[in-house]
Amino acid sequence: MKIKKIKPSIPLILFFILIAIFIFFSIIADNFLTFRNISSLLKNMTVMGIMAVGLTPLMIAGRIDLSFGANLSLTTVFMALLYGGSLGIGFKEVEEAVSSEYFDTAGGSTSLWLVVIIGILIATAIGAFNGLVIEKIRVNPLIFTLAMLSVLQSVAFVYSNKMSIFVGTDEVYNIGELEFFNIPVSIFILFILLLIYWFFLKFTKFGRTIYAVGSGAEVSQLFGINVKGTRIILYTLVGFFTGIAAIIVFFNTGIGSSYHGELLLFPTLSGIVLGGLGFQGGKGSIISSILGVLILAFLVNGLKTLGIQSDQIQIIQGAVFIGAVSFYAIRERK
Amino acid sequence: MENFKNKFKSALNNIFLGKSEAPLLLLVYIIILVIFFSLNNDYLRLNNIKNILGNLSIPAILSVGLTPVILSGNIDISIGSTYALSGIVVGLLYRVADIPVPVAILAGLLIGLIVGAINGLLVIKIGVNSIIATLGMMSMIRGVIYVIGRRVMKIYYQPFLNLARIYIFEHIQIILIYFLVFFFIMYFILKLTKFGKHLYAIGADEKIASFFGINIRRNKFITFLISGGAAAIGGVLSVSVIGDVTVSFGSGTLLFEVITACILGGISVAGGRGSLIGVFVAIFILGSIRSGLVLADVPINLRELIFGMILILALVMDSFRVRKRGLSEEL
Repeated sequence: MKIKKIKPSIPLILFFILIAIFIFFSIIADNFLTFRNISSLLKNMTVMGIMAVGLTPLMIAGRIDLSFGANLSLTTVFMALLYGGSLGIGFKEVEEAVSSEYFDTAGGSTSLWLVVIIGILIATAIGAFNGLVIEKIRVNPLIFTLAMLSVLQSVAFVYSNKMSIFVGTDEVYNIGELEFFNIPVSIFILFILLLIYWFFLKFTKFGRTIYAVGSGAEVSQLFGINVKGTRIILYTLVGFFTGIAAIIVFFNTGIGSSYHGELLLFPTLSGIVLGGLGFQGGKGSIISSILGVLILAFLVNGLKTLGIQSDQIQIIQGAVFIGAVSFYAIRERK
Repeated sequence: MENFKNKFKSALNNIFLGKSEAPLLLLVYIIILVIFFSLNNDYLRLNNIKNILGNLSIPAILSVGLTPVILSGNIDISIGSTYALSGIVVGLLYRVADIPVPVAILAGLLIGLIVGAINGLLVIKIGVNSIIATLGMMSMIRGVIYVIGRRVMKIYYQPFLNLARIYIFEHIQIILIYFLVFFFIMYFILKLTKFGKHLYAIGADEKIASFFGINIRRNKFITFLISGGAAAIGGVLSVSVIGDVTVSFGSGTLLFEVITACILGGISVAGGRGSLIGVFVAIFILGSIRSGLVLADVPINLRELIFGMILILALVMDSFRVRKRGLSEEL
């Protein structure tokens, strides 16, 4: 008679860890439990959260995308250029424009709404491109998205001359600082997206095919599931969510920069990995990913309020990443 | 002896009967040389050639060190940061801790091996996917570099500077010699030793390789040691060339150049396929392109973009090659 070993559910464990960290830092660090700190923390983490939500189903389906950070950077740069009124075709023009105080003025030549729409389109298109090349030409997904990271980053550098483009007009900041009941709008956006996607993944047929594709691609194909098509859609959705994240970054900071994404890439990945999202596929949930991102955000923020410097925090982040991946890898083996 | 002669003959056959990528790459190379020469006549001047050779030598060492890893089916993206860490360690030990230079150099090399060992542990013992493991290591090492390396460390010790800066026969930089020596050693290992053949077998089909009794875990572990060690060698030599070390040592583009050289040179991402000769030619191609672009006044951002696209092109070419051989039926 086999005795079934009860595995404690990961989201539950993560939730407890989150609470534990929260309590820990509230006691230890003076400035942690202030309204300002927590709201700034949540505001920063919404961007990572949104990208994590977009990335999770893709990874459940057994694929990865490392280029979403650069995608975000590129999108913000283009949005800033469009809004600021100069999308130079020649690179010399952009160099001159950006080096002068060109963008420091109010208003732009492209309406803000149009900028937002184009931003989402660009990001989504990049996601779709990734999906098409990976699935149709069948390049190695990891290395290809790594290469795309470099390419997208380079394009962003070209168009911004490696500088930040400041377009922080009143129009932009007004939207960026919108709040409902004192909570920034971006958190609501994250919440809504989270709910929609979670529901979608758990209760619809398409959601279940995502798990199927991740667990066994050949078998799914035999059962009539369009594996490649599914993955292409998921890649496109990663692009879409990255676009939304880019918009939020744009409105929050008023800056289009090729460095936005670089800073967000690793923490987002770490959060997802903390949530137990295996790179093999078939396992994982949006809740776990978000909890992972939250845990990491609280951890980093807590350490900062304790006075630990960013460099040391990065080491800890790397260690957490490795620790989490190792933990889940060992768990998988058993 | 007979065996060796036969192998040599068959190697020549392979190259000239088109079974390897090297001849095609050579052709491309010649075309590129012609194009750049027409754009700027300084291109083929001795000075520029020396320049090209000098610049490609150290990344070339890293590419050769990375090749066994890719051949056996893994990848190591932490080599850039290992390279930097070794340099920083040498600088720190010598400038700050006043440790004699030879010992500092040894420590730097040791660091490379240690990082390689950790990578190997993570990938083989714990079972983490190699890109994820080395990504994590890269991030952690970068953090370590920022924490310990926050000072400029200039090195004035002439013998150390001479390590990488002297010229043989007046025109050949010694780092080029180091690279060539390393290349030939690696080529010998990969083509003519059991270890090398085992790596190809593991990369091609792990199950069958283990069925034949090949110790997969140990072999893969050794590949990570090699890539870590090569990165460390590169880092130490780089410090000697540049003369000082700062936190920004070894920035992002190095990693992509090294990977591009491997993949362009025919080392298949799927593993088990590719020859160091292709990598050799690819290294020269990339170095020449870089120099040509600089001499043609192409702005740096655009240069980086072009190199990114070359990598993508190489990846696409690789996947076509893999498909043609029917190696990848996977979905």
